[in-house]
Amino acid sequence: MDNVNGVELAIFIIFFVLVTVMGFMAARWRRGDTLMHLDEWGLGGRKFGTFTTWFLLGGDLYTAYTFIAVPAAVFASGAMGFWALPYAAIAYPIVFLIGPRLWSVSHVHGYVTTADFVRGRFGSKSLGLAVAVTGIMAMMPYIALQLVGIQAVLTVIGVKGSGLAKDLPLLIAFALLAAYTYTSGLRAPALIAFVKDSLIYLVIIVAVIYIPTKLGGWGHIFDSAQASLAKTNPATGKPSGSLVTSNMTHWAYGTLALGSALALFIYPHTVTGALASGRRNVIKRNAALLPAYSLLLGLLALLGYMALAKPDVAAAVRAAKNPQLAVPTLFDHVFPSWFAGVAFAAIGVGALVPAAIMSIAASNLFTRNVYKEFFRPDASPAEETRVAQLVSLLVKVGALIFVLAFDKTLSINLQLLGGIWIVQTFPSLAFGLYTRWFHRWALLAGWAAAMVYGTLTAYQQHSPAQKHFAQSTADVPFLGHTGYIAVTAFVINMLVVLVLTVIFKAAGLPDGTDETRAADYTADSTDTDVRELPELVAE
Amino acid sequence: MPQRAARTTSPVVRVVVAILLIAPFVVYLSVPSYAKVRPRLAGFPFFYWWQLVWVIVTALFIGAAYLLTRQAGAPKDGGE
Repeated sequence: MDNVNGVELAIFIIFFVLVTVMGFMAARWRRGDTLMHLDEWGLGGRKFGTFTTWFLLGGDLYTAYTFIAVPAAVFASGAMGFWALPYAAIAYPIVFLIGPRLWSVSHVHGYVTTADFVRGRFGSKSLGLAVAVTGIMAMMPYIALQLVGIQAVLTVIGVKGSGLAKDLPLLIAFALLAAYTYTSGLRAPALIAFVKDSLIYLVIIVAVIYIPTKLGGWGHIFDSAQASLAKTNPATGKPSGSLVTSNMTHWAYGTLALGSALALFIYPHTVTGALASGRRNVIKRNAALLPAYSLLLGLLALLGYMALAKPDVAAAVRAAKNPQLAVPTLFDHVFPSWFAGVAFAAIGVGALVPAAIMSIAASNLFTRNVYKEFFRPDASPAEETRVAQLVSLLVKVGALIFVLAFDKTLSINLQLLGGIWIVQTFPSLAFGLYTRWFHRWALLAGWAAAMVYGTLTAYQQHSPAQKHFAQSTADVPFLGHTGYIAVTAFVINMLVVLVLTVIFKAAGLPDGTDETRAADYTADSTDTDVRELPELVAE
Repeated sequence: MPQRAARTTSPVVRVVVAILLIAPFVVYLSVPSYAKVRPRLAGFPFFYWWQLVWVIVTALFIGAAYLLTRQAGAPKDGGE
């Protein structure tokens, strides 16, 4: 472990310890009578207000993925990497349309997961299972991505080595995360999110004001970045990118933004955060307030250009052959050690909050929609919580294996693979919130077709550096453009659903029972049939 | 379980809300319309500042949609 920056490491560790203490104390924060009920552990008792929900959901956008992978994409390919901004903008009209209806129907019927809703709406256990399995599979690479973020920071601080020494800090961070999620449930990330988001806001605001003054202003940053992107990349024989999208990349840019926006609010962890809010309007307000994060996300992406514009940073990142080091290296070179330490802590803690929510969301899905539904229909609430706690540990171990077994420079594509899968639950979930017209077996068939197409197509993408999963975009059949695989798969999904629904209805195949009523979708906390389980009311 | 009617919104409000929510998609998904460097603003190429400005506009549109539909969802609640 040579060349460790002691100041950076010390500050990083101090914040980690602080957050860990908060994580364990969170079990006492706003608690109901008992934590041994899945609603209490997995949804924080379902009573977060606008403010807490804003921080909690903001934690889903502002992950290590944001801090590391988005600027890395801009560093590596220019304008193409900026698609995260339109994604983070157009996701919110979708949140506004589906979030409140999902909140209402879930609170009337006691749904904790998306799969609960789909099973109840379409009267189909297998469709519920499909949604649950998709959610769990999509969560794994997403959690892995958060760990990759911590790794990038540790590399720049100088914590490296071989074998166990290299992975040890990650294992420690991981064990702590697992321990406080186990004891405190959703309250831990909700409380830690306050620290994390404050740190991240501070760091980004300082970065976008301070660094341009050191680099000769924004105009100069864009000009230098353009010159750097125009140089020929020896691996491909083409320029590595451009300052604006071209005829070749317009479609990819738009479909990546659209496909990811469809995914944002149906990801299990986002739904978990949203259902924990106390009232329907909390979600509507947050749809309007969360774009504040998106604005900073756009500025954050531009840190990739700052890294390009500073020759010593660009050279160091290229020498390491890892664009994910762009932002940590930039901070390391530009900021004094103590502030670089704060910035790294922000990234590290920023990885823990979503990782905790994601593992809770995945374990809720498993416990309710696989374990209880198919194996132990009469499981008690206490047993449900115990199983969920154990599964959240298993999910984290799975993510750890993901990180150690796959090439780390793949993190953004791993997450996009999860995105390809999760988008395929959009018809059942999001359209299902508005209409019951689709036939349950048609939805299942559309999902299956799209999952197979999406996974195979992603697998076939290769580059000089990678044989498989090299990118999340591919040629769109019959269109002659390159587009995000999730969107193509989604179109295939919908075509299958529409055609088969017509056929199945004409053939008179039995459709499941819908346990919801139209009025359930607009219910609010003032309505008497909105479910607050008795133990949740006691404060 | 008590009976409760689904709350509805007037057609005019529905159309306005639909426009407010669809506009960001139209703007962001017409990628070629903003894929240009000029005019620059404070050093930012058009591609970047246009998309950043529309984040704010999107937030305002959703905020307006919230205010327009608030009465429809629930009795006005007194904030946090």
